[in-house]
Amino acid sequence: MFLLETRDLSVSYNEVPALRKVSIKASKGEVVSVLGPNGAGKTTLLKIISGLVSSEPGSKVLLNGEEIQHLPPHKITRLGVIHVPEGRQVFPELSVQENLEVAATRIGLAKARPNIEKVYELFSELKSRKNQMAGTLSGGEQQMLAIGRGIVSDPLIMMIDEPSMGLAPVIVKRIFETLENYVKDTGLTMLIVEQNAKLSLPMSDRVYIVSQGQIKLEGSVDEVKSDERIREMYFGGK
Amino acid sequence: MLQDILQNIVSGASIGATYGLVGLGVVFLWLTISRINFANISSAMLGAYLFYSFYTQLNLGFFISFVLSIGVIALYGLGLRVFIYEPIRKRGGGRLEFVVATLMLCTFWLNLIIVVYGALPKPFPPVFGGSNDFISLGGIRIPSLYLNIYLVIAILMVFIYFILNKTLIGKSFRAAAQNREAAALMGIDVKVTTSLSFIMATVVVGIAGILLAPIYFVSLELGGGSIGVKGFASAVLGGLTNPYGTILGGISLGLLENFSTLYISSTYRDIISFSVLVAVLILKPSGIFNWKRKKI
Repeated sequence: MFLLETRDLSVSYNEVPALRKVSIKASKGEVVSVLGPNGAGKTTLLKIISGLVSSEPGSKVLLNGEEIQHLPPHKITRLGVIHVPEGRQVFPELSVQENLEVAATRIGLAKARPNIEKVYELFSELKSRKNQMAGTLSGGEQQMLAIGRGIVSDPLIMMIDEPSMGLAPVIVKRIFETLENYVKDTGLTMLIVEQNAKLSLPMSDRVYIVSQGQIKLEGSVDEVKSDERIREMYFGGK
Repeated sequence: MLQDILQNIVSGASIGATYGLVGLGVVFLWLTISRINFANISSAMLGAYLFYSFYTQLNLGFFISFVLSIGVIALYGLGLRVFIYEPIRKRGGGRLEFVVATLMLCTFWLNLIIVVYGALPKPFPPVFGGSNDFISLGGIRIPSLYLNIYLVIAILMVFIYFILNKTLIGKSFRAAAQNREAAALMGIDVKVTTSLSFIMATVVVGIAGILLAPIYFVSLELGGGSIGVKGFASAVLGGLTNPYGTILGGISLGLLENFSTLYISSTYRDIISFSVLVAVLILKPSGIFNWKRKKI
């Protein structure tokens, strides 16, 4: 059985289909990348899984085989499906520490204390700013905080949406390295949406290519990399 | 002369702080659901009448009467969410629908009070000190009533600060106020934080009603008219989002009133203070006591 599975997810915005029968799977311990151009429906896919967007009848989201697509977002989060949203979405007028604390809602503050310490260990920048309002952090630090909140809540599966967006390459590198090491150490299951394939593929086990709301291709990283068209689209030829 | 000034500062600031409490009711809802509750001031009237019933009519003693009044008001706040806010929202109603519904609710409560208690004002029991109780401080007489108002508001503000900044539910409340969707992704049940905001909003205004009743009597004046508007004014001075700025806004308004009475005339009191408020709104619509706060 898969940890997380979607079956035939479909949704339309103003009668324009945004996703059509999208089925993806993630086993426990797997890192799955979702690649695709802007507007392909990647963000919508994550939003449906986390309950922020309702899908059309017939669509199913299964967590350990149980349907969760009818649940509200806070309940889906409490089950351990953690969505680190696009654009960070930190609480600007909560301190760094408070941002991490509210992420403890799922497991309780007492159990989350070691996780908060872990986040400070992974991202030392955050520790030195723990009493600063999150709105005063740089974009990179906000992304670290957003990922940190995900870690605090002790996810069964973490879904990250475009962590590199709008950040300097050196910061992006640092964030991805930290993330990769953390995943290696903990065996965290992850679903990662990223436009920049060069960033997400090295840490991924499997890949889905989404375009115009549909899955165009799926396979292991090597399989996908060897596909001519994909290579051209995502790795600049060769 | 100096004594007059100090005297007026003491009384103006204490009444003003209660306007600030009324304003807090506006702020707590604006923060979480971005709606203006036009029946905000009704909670003040309900608080005063409930306390009057429990204390004077049922002889339950100060503490029990106070706790019971606040308890009923808290339930009323929850009811506002469940029976007014949610149904309107679920059926696609927006801000305007909520405004109109609460505007009607305000009139409903005034008339229900007339039916149950009659239209005549009732004397409020001297639980915060009688008209002749005061303490002297370097020549100024501070009536016990004002002293008690300060005390209650100080305790309340410390309590609110503690809840919002030191408890997980308070932090969740602030998180949901800043970004509802992200809050839900943290596992925060936004229904719970919305309920909390309705409860806090009605309770602070209910307490304001009990504090104002010795001055305005247990009367319909507590359920509409100028006090409600002064509450809104305090909230606007705090930019609708800053609770502490709202109390400060209320205090400034109270001082302004008292000094216009002292130096000009009581007839012009409201004309002067509202002119200043309109001027402030025109010059600085985001509120003058709305500093970039470190914490709400």
